[in-house]
Amino acid sequence: MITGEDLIAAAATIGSMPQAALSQRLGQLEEERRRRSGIAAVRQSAELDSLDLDEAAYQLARQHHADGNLAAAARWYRAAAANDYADAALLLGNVLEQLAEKYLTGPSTRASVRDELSLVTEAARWYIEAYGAGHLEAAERVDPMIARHDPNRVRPVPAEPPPHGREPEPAACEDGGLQAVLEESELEAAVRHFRDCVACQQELISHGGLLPTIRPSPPLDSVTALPLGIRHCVISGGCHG
Amino acid sequence: MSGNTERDSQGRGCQARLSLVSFPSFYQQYYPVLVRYLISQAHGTRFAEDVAQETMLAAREKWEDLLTYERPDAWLFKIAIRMLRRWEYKVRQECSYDGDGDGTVGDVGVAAATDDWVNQHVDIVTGIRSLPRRQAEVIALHYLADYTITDTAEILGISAGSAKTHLHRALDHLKRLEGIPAVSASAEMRDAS
Repeated sequence: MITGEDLIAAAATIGSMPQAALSQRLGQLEEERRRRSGIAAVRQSAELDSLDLDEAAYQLARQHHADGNLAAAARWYRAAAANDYADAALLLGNVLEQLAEKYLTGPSTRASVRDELSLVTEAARWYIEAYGAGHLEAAERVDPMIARHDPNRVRPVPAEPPPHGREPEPAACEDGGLQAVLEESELEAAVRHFRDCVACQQELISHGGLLPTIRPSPPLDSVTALPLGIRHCVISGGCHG
Repeated sequence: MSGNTERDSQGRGCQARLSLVSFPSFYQQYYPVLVRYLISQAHGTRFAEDVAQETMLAAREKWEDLLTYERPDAWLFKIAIRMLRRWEYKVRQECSYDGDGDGTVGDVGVAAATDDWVNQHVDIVTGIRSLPRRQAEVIALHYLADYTITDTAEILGISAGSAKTHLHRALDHLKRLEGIPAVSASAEMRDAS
Protein backbone atom coordinates (compact mmCIF):
# COMPACT_ATOMS: atom_id res chain seq x y z
CA MET A 1 0.00 0.00 0.00
CA ILE A 2 1.01 3.64 -0.56
CA THR A 3 -0.22 6.42 1.70
CA GLY A 4 -0.24 10.20 1.48
CA GLU A 5 2.68 10.31 3.91
CA ASP A 6 4.72 8.13 1.57
CA LEU A 7 4.02 10.53 -1.27
CA ILE A 8 5.01 13.57 0.81
CA ALA A 9 8.26 11.84 1.76
CA ALA A 10 9.00 11.15 -1.92
CA ALA A 11 8.24 14.77 -2.83
CA ALA A 12 10.87 16.01 -0.38
CA THR A 13 13.68 14.92 -2.72
CA ILE A 14 12.00 15.14 -6.13
CA GLY A 15 13.75 18.42 -6.98
CA SER A 16 17.26 17.05 -6.39
CA MET A 17 19.28 15.96 -9.40
CA PRO A 18 23.06 15.72 -9.80
CA GLN A 19 24.45 19.00 -11.17
CA ALA A 20 26.36 17.18 -13.92
CA ALA A 21 23.18 15.56 -15.26
CA LEU A 22 21.32 18.87 -15.19
CA SER A 23 24.13 20.73 -16.96
CA GLN A 24 24.31 18.03 -19.61
CA ARG A 25 20.56 18.25 -20.34
CA LEU A 26 20.59 22.02 -20.37
CA GLY A 27 23.49 21.87 -22.85
CA GLN A 28 21.50 19.44 -25.04
CA LEU A 29 18.55 21.83 -24.96
CA GLU A 30 20.64 24.82 -26.05
CA GLU A 31 22.24 22.71 -28.79
CA GLU A 32 18.82 21.58 -30.00
CA ARG A 33 17.65 25.19 -30.02
CA ARG A 34 20.63 26.30 -32.14
CA ARG A 35 20.14 23.41 -34.55
CA ARG A 36 16.43 24.02 -35.12
CA SER A 37 15.48 25.67 -38.37
CA GLY A 38 13.12 28.60 -38.59
CA ILE A 39 10.35 26.32 -39.83
CA ALA A 40 10.76 24.00 -36.85
CA ALA A 41 10.55 26.97 -34.48
CA VAL A 42 7.38 28.23 -36.16
CA ARG A 43 5.90 24.74 -36.04
CA GLN A 44 6.62 24.52 -32.33
CA SER A 45 5.06 27.92 -31.74
CA ALA A 46 1.94 26.89 -33.69
CA GLU A 47 1.67 23.68 -31.67
CA LEU A 48 1.88 25.65 -28.44
CA ASP A 49 -0.86 27.99 -29.63
CA SER A 50 -3.02 25.04 -30.63
CA LEU A 51 -2.85 23.74 -27.05
CA ASP A 52 -4.89 26.78 -26.05
CA LEU A 53 -7.54 25.84 -28.60
CA ASP A 54 -8.49 22.79 -26.53
CA GLU A 55 -9.38 25.03 -23.62
CA ALA A 56 -11.20 27.49 -25.88
CA ALA A 57 -13.26 24.68 -27.43
CA TYR A 58 -14.08 23.33 -23.97
CA GLN A 59 -15.22 26.74 -22.67
CA LEU A 60 -17.34 27.28 -25.78
CA ALA A 61 -18.93 23.87 -25.30
CA ARG A 62 -19.70 24.64 -21.64
CA GLN A 63 -21.40 27.86 -22.72
CA HIS A 64 -23.56 26.12 -25.35
CA HIS A 65 -24.33 23.35 -22.87
CA ALA A 66 -25.51 25.89 -20.29
CA ASP A 67 -27.65 27.59 -22.96
CA GLY A 68 -29.27 24.27 -23.89
CA ASN A 69 -27.82 24.18 -27.40
CA LEU A 70 -26.84 20.52 -27.26
CA ALA A 71 -25.83 20.11 -30.91
CA ALA A 72 -23.34 22.99 -30.71
CA ALA A 73 -22.14 21.78 -27.29
CA ALA A 74 -21.46 18.32 -28.74
CA ARG A 75 -19.50 19.84 -31.61
CA TRP A 76 -17.13 21.75 -29.33
CA TYR A 77 -16.87 19.07 -26.66
CA ARG A 78 -15.81 16.74 -29.47
CA ALA A 79 -12.95 19.09 -30.36
CA ALA A 80 -11.80 19.25 -26.73
CA ALA A 81 -12.28 15.54 -26.03
CA ALA A 82 -10.25 14.60 -29.11
CA ASN A 83 -7.21 15.93 -27.23
CA ASP A 84 -8.26 14.45 -23.89
CA TYR A 85 -8.94 17.89 -22.38
CA ALA A 86 -10.27 17.92 -18.80
CA ASP A 87 -13.63 16.10 -18.46
CA ALA A 88 -14.73 16.86 -22.05
CA ALA A 89 -15.15 13.14 -22.84
CA LEU A 90 -17.59 12.62 -19.95
CA LEU A 91 -19.60 15.74 -20.81
CA LEU A 92 -19.65 14.82 -24.50
CA GLY A 93 -21.02 11.39 -23.66
CA ASN A 94 -23.67 13.05 -21.53
CA VAL A 95 -24.70 15.54 -24.25
CA LEU A 96 -24.87 12.83 -26.93
CA GLU A 97 -27.03 10.70 -24.61
CA GLN A 98 -29.38 13.66 -24.15
CA LEU A 99 -29.56 14.16 -27.92
CA ALA A 100 -30.45 10.48 -28.34
CA GLU A 101 -33.23 10.75 -25.71
CA LYS A 102 -35.52 12.68 -28.06
CA TYR A 103 -35.77 9.59 -30.28
CA LEU A 104 -37.33 7.59 -27.46
CA THR A 105 -40.71 9.30 -27.78
CA GLY A 106 -40.71 10.56 -31.34
CA PRO A 107 -42.09 8.66 -34.36
CA SER A 108 -39.84 6.01 -35.84
CA THR A 109 -38.47 6.11 -39.36
CA ARG A 110 -35.49 4.36 -40.86
CA ALA A 111 -33.49 7.60 -40.71
CA SER A 112 -34.42 8.28 -37.08
CA VAL A 113 -33.38 4.75 -36.03
CA ARG A 114 -30.04 5.23 -37.77
CA ASP A 115 -29.46 8.63 -36.16
CA GLU A 116 -30.41 7.35 -32.71
CA LEU A 117 -28.03 4.38 -32.93
CA SER A 118 -25.27 6.61 -34.18
CA LEU A 119 -25.66 8.95 -31.19
CA VAL A 120 -25.81 6.08 -28.69
CA THR A 121 -22.74 4.42 -30.20
CA GLU A 122 -20.74 7.63 -30.03
CA ALA A 123 -21.95 8.39 -26.49
CA ALA A 124 -20.86 4.90 -25.36
CA ARG A 125 -17.46 5.41 -26.96
CA TRP A 126 -16.87 8.67 -25.07
CA TYR A 127 -18.19 7.22 -21.80
CA ILE A 128 -15.61 4.44 -22.11
CA GLU A 129 -12.92 7.02 -22.83
CA ALA A 130 -14.01 9.00 -19.75
CA TYR A 131 -13.96 5.84 -17.63
CA GLY A 132 -10.40 5.19 -18.76
CA ALA A 133 -9.48 8.70 -17.65
CA GLY A 134 -10.83 8.05 -14.16
CA HIS A 135 -14.49 9.11 -14.28
CA LEU A 136 -15.86 5.93 -12.75
CA GLU A 137 -19.48 7.09 -13.03
CA ALA A 138 -19.19 6.97 -16.83
CA ALA A 139 -19.20 3.16 -16.80
CA GLU A 140 -22.53 3.14 -14.96
CA ARG A 141 -24.17 5.15 -17.72
CA VAL A 142 -23.40 2.83 -20.63
CA ASP A 143 -25.55 -0.25 -19.93
CA PRO A 144 -28.77 1.58 -18.99
CA MET A 145 -28.36 3.84 -22.02
CA ILE A 146 -27.94 0.92 -24.41
CA ALA A 147 -30.91 -0.88 -22.82
CA ARG A 148 -33.14 2.20 -23.21
CA HIS A 149 -32.22 2.59 -26.86
CA ASP A 150 -32.72 -1.06 -27.84
CA PRO A 151 -33.29 -0.97 -31.63
CA ASN A 152 -35.88 -3.77 -31.33
CA ARG A 153 -38.09 -1.96 -28.84
CA VAL A 154 -41.70 -1.10 -29.72
CA ARG A 155 -41.77 2.36 -31.26
CA PRO A 156 -44.57 4.75 -32.12
CA VAL A 157 -45.44 4.72 -35.83
CA PRO A 158 -45.77 8.05 -37.61
CA ALA A 159 -49.50 8.90 -38.00
CA GLU A 160 -49.36 10.61 -41.40
CA PRO A 161 -46.66 11.55 -43.83
CA PRO A 162 -45.53 15.12 -43.27
CA PRO A 163 -47.58 17.62 -45.33
CA HIS A 164 -44.48 19.18 -46.84
CA GLY A 165 -43.72 15.84 -48.53
CA ARG A 166 -46.54 16.28 -51.07
CA GLU A 167 -46.15 18.09 -54.36
CA PRO A 168 -48.21 21.29 -54.47
CA GLU A 169 -51.16 21.20 -56.89
CA PRO A 170 -50.27 23.03 -60.13
CA ALA A 171 -52.37 25.97 -61.23
CA ALA A 172 -55.19 24.98 -63.62
CA CYS A 173 -54.56 25.42 -67.34
CA GLU A 174 -55.67 28.87 -68.43
CA ASP A 175 -56.69 27.55 -71.88
CA GLY A 176 -59.02 24.84 -70.55
CA GLY A 177 -56.75 21.80 -70.48
CA LEU A 178 -54.78 19.63 -72.88
CA GLN A 179 -57.70 18.57 -75.03
CA ALA A 180 -58.96 22.13 -75.50
CA VAL A 181 -55.47 23.36 -76.43
CA LEU A 182 -55.08 20.64 -79.07
CA GLU A 183 -58.48 21.36 -80.52
CA GLU A 184 -58.24 25.10 -80.60
CA SER A 185 -54.57 25.94 -81.27
CA GLU A 186 -52.22 25.62 -84.16
CA LEU A 187 -49.56 22.95 -83.61
CA GLU A 188 -46.69 25.37 -82.92
CA ALA A 189 -48.82 27.37 -80.48
CA ALA A 190 -49.93 24.16 -78.77
CA VAL A 191 -46.32 23.01 -78.40
CA ARG A 192 -45.32 26.39 -76.95
CA HIS A 193 -48.20 26.23 -74.50
CA PHE A 194 -47.40 22.67 -73.51
CA ARG A 195 -43.79 23.61 -72.78
CA ASP A 196 -44.87 26.12 -70.13
CA CYS A 197 -48.12 24.68 -68.72
CA VAL A 198 -47.52 22.32 -65.78
CA ALA A 199 -51.22 21.36 -65.63
CA CYS A 200 -51.11 20.12 -69.24
CA GLN A 201 -47.82 18.29 -68.63
CA GLN A 202 -49.41 16.47 -65.66
CA GLU A 203 -52.48 15.69 -67.75
CA LEU A 204 -50.22 14.17 -70.40
CA ILE A 205 -48.50 12.03 -67.79
CA SER A 206 -51.86 10.89 -66.46
CA HIS A 207 -52.63 9.65 -69.99
CA GLY A 208 -49.50 7.52 -69.89
CA GLY A 209 -47.50 9.96 -72.00
CA LEU A 210 -49.85 9.72 -74.98
CA LEU A 211 -51.93 12.59 -76.22
CA PRO A 212 -55.71 12.06 -76.00
CA THR A 213 -57.40 11.23 -79.27
CA ILE A 214 -59.86 13.81 -80.40
CA ARG A 215 -63.18 12.26 -81.27
CA PRO A 216 -64.98 12.50 -83.54
CA SER A 217 -62.28 12.55 -86.21
CA PRO A 218 -61.81 15.86 -87.93
CA PRO A 219 -63.46 16.45 -91.31
CA LEU A 220 -61.50 15.29 -94.33
CA ASP A 221 -60.74 18.81 -95.56
CA SER A 222 -59.08 19.83 -92.31
CA VAL A 223 -56.98 16.67 -92.24
CA THR A 224 -55.65 17.35 -95.69
CA ALA A 225 -54.56 20.77 -94.47
CA LEU A 226 -52.19 19.23 -91.93
CA PRO A 227 -48.49 19.63 -92.74
CA LEU A 228 -47.03 16.23 -93.62
CA GLY A 229 -49.66 14.42 -91.56
CA ILE A 230 -47.97 15.31 -88.34
CA ARG A 231 -51.11 16.66 -86.82
CA HIS A 232 -52.85 13.34 -87.44
CA CYS A 233 -50.17 11.50 -85.50
CA VAL A 234 -50.38 13.96 -82.63
CA ILE A 235 -54.13 14.02 -82.41
CA SER A 236 -54.75 10.30 -82.81
CA GLY A 237 -52.14 9.42 -80.24
CA GLY A 238 -49.86 7.49 -82.58
CA CYS A 239 -48.58 7.34 -86.09
CA HIS A 240 -49.66 4.39 -88.18
CA GLY A 241 -47.40 4.84 -91.04
CA MET B 1 -5.73 14.05 3.77
CA SER B 2 -2.27 15.50 3.47
CA GLY B 3 -1.18 18.70 5.10
CA ASN B 4 -0.27 20.44 1.87
CA THR B 5 -3.87 21.11 0.85
CA GLU B 6 -3.63 24.48 2.58
CA ARG B 7 -0.11 25.29 1.48
CA ASP B 8 0.32 28.85 0.43
CA SER B 9 0.27 29.08 -3.34
CA GLN B 10 1.49 32.68 -3.13
CA GLY B 11 4.70 31.38 -1.57
CA ARG B 12 5.17 29.03 -4.50
CA GLY B 13 4.56 31.96 -6.84
CA CYS B 14 7.37 33.94 -5.17
CA GLN B 15 9.64 30.90 -5.38
CA ALA B 16 8.86 30.57 -9.08
CA ARG B 17 9.56 34.24 -9.71
CA LEU B 18 12.90 34.00 -7.91
CA SER B 19 13.91 31.23 -10.29
CA LEU B 20 13.36 33.63 -13.21
CA VAL B 21 16.72 35.30 -12.61
CA SER B 22 17.92 33.40 -15.66
CA PHE B 23 16.73 30.51 -17.81
CA PRO B 24 19.45 28.13 -16.48
CA SER B 25 18.30 28.73 -12.88
CA PHE B 26 14.67 28.20 -13.92
CA TYR B 27 15.68 25.02 -15.73
CA GLN B 28 17.63 23.68 -12.77
CA GLN B 29 14.76 24.32 -10.39
CA TYR B 30 11.93 22.87 -12.46
CA TYR B 31 13.37 20.28 -14.85
CA PRO B 32 13.86 17.58 -12.19
CA VAL B 33 10.31 17.94 -10.83
CA LEU B 34 8.80 18.14 -14.30
CA VAL B 35 10.56 15.11 -15.76
CA ARG B 36 9.84 12.95 -12.70
CA TYR B 37 6.24 14.06 -12.66
CA LEU B 38 5.99 13.06 -16.34
CA ILE B 39 7.74 9.74 -15.71
CA SER B 40 5.01 8.95 -13.18
CA GLN B 41 2.35 9.68 -15.85
CA ALA B 42 3.65 8.50 -19.19
CA HIS B 43 3.39 5.10 -20.81
CA GLY B 44 7.06 5.30 -21.69
CA THR B 45 10.02 6.87 -19.90
CA ARG B 46 11.53 8.13 -23.14
CA PHE B 47 8.21 9.75 -23.94
CA ALA B 48 8.29 11.59 -20.60
CA GLU B 49 11.84 12.82 -21.11
CA ASP B 50 11.03 14.05 -24.62
CA VAL B 51 7.96 15.96 -23.43
CA ALA B 52 9.91 17.50 -20.53
CA GLN B 53 12.72 18.64 -22.82
CA GLU B 54 10.27 19.87 -25.47
CA THR B 55 8.37 21.88 -22.86
CA MET B 56 11.58 23.39 -21.53
CA LEU B 57 12.57 24.27 -25.09
CA ALA B 58 9.22 26.05 -25.49
CA ALA B 59 9.92 27.92 -22.25
CA ARG B 60 13.34 28.89 -23.57
CA GLU B 61 11.82 30.19 -26.82
CA LYS B 62 9.30 32.38 -25.03
CA TRP B 63 11.49 33.26 -22.08
CA GLU B 64 10.79 37.02 -22.41
CA ASP B 65 7.04 36.38 -22.16
CA LEU B 66 7.50 33.95 -19.30
CA LEU B 67 9.18 36.67 -17.25
CA THR B 68 5.86 38.53 -17.14
CA TYR B 69 3.80 35.51 -15.99
CA GLU B 70 2.45 35.35 -12.46
CA ARG B 71 3.06 31.58 -12.26
CA PRO B 72 5.58 30.46 -14.88
CA ASP B 73 5.88 27.06 -13.20
CA ALA B 74 2.12 26.47 -13.57
CA TRP B 75 2.42 27.36 -17.26
CA LEU B 76 5.22 24.81 -17.58
CA PHE B 77 3.14 21.98 -16.10
CA LYS B 78 0.04 22.99 -18.05
CA ILE B 79 1.92 22.81 -21.36
CA ALA B 80 3.70 19.57 -20.50
CA ILE B 81 0.49 17.84 -19.40
CA ARG B 82 -1.44 18.88 -22.52
CA MET B 83 1.44 17.86 -24.75
CA LEU B 84 1.66 14.46 -23.08
CA ARG B 85 -2.12 13.97 -23.27
CA ARG B 86 -2.07 14.65 -27.00
CA TRP B 87 0.81 12.30 -27.67
CA GLU B 88 -0.64 9.55 -25.52
CA TYR B 89 -4.12 9.97 -26.98
CA LYS B 90 -2.62 9.39 -30.42
CA VAL B 91 -0.82 6.31 -29.12
CA ARG B 92 -4.05 4.98 -27.58
CA GLN B 93 -5.87 5.43 -30.90
CA GLU B 94 -3.15 3.57 -32.75
CA CYS B 95 -2.59 0.76 -30.22
CA SER B 96 -4.92 -1.36 -28.12
CA TYR B 97 -5.81 0.39 -24.87
CA ASP B 98 -3.91 -0.77 -21.80
CA GLY B 99 -6.39 0.23 -19.15
CA ASP B 100 -4.93 -1.46 -16.10
CA GLY B 101 -1.46 -0.02 -16.53
CA ASP B 102 0.36 -3.34 -16.07
CA GLY B 103 2.19 -2.76 -19.32
CA THR B 104 3.97 0.28 -17.88
CA VAL B 105 5.62 -1.49 -14.93
CA GLY B 106 8.52 -2.87 -16.90
CA ASP B 107 9.33 0.56 -18.29
CA VAL B 108 9.68 1.98 -14.77
CA GLY B 109 12.82 -0.14 -14.53
CA VAL B 110 14.26 1.77 -17.49
CA ALA B 111 13.66 5.06 -15.66
CA ALA B 112 15.03 3.63 -12.42
CA ALA B 113 18.24 2.61 -14.16
CA THR B 114 19.01 6.20 -15.15
CA ASP B 115 17.43 8.23 -12.34
CA ASP B 116 18.26 7.73 -8.65
CA TRP B 117 15.05 9.33 -7.44
CA VAL B 118 12.93 6.96 -9.54
CA ASN B 119 15.08 4.06 -8.37
CA GLN B 120 14.38 4.95 -4.74
CA HIS B 121 10.64 5.39 -5.36
CA VAL B 122 9.88 2.67 -7.90
CA ASP B 123 6.86 1.56 -5.88
CA ILE B 124 5.35 5.04 -5.90
CA VAL B 125 6.00 5.64 -9.60
CA THR B 126 4.55 2.22 -10.44
CA GLY B 127 1.53 2.83 -8.21
CA ILE B 128 0.78 6.20 -9.81
CA ARG B 129 1.21 4.75 -13.30
CA SER B 130 -1.40 2.12 -12.46
CA LEU B 131 -4.03 4.82 -11.80
CA PRO B 132 -6.48 6.13 -14.39
CA ARG B 133 -5.06 9.21 -16.15
CA ARG B 134 -6.91 12.00 -14.37
CA GLN B 135 -6.36 10.46 -10.94
CA ALA B 136 -2.66 10.06 -11.67
CA GLU B 137 -2.40 13.68 -12.79
CA VAL B 138 -4.14 15.04 -9.69
CA ILE B 139 -2.26 12.99 -7.13
CA ALA B 140 1.16 13.64 -8.68
CA LEU B 141 0.56 17.38 -9.08
CA HIS B 142 -0.75 17.68 -5.53
CA TYR B 143 1.74 15.48 -3.71
CA LEU B 144 4.86 15.22 -5.83
CA ALA B 145 4.87 18.67 -7.48
CA ASP B 146 3.39 20.19 -4.32
CA TYR B 147 0.52 22.18 -5.81
CA THR B 148 -2.59 23.09 -3.82
CA ILE B 149 -5.91 21.58 -4.89
CA THR B 150 -6.90 24.94 -6.37
CA ASP B 151 -3.68 25.20 -8.40
CA THR B 152 -3.96 21.55 -9.45
CA ALA B 153 -7.51 22.10 -10.69
CA GLU B 154 -6.41 25.25 -12.54
CA ILE B 155 -3.53 23.47 -14.27
CA LEU B 156 -5.76 20.57 -15.33
CA GLY B 157 -8.70 22.78 -16.38
CA ILE B 158 -11.14 21.06 -14.01
CA SER B 159 -13.11 22.23 -10.99
CA ALA B 160 -11.63 22.02 -7.49
CA GLY B 161 -14.44 19.63 -6.53
CA SER B 162 -13.57 17.32 -9.39
CA ALA B 163 -9.88 17.46 -8.42
CA LYS B 164 -10.77 16.46 -4.84
CA THR B 165 -12.85 13.55 -6.08
CA HIS B 166 -9.99 12.29 -8.24
CA LEU B 167 -7.58 12.73 -5.31
CA HIS B 168 -9.75 10.68 -2.94
CA ARG B 169 -10.20 7.92 -5.50
CA ALA B 170 -6.47 7.86 -6.24
CA LEU B 171 -5.54 7.63 -2.56
CA ASP B 172 -8.08 4.84 -2.02
CA HIS B 173 -6.67 2.97 -5.00
CA LEU B 174 -3.06 3.34 -3.82
CA LYS B 175 -3.93 2.23 -0.28
CA ARG B 176 -5.56 -0.91 -1.66
CA LEU B 177 -2.61 -1.81 -3.89
CA GLU B 178 -1.17 -5.21 -3.11
CA GLY B 179 2.25 -6.46 -4.01
CA ILE B 180 3.77 -3.01 -3.68
CA PRO B 181 5.28 -2.52 -0.23
CA ALA B 182 4.91 0.81 1.55
CA VAL B 183 7.74 3.29 1.01
CA SER B 184 8.61 3.31 4.68
CA ALA B 185 9.04 -0.47 4.67
CA SER B 186 11.21 -0.26 1.55
CA ALA B 187 13.33 2.41 3.19
CA GLU B 188 13.84 0.25 6.25
CA MET B 189 14.96 -2.64 4.09
CA ARG B 190 17.41 -0.39 2.26
CA ASP B 191 18.73 0.99 5.59
CA ALA B 192 19.19 -2.52 6.93
CA SER B 193 21.15 -3.61 3.89
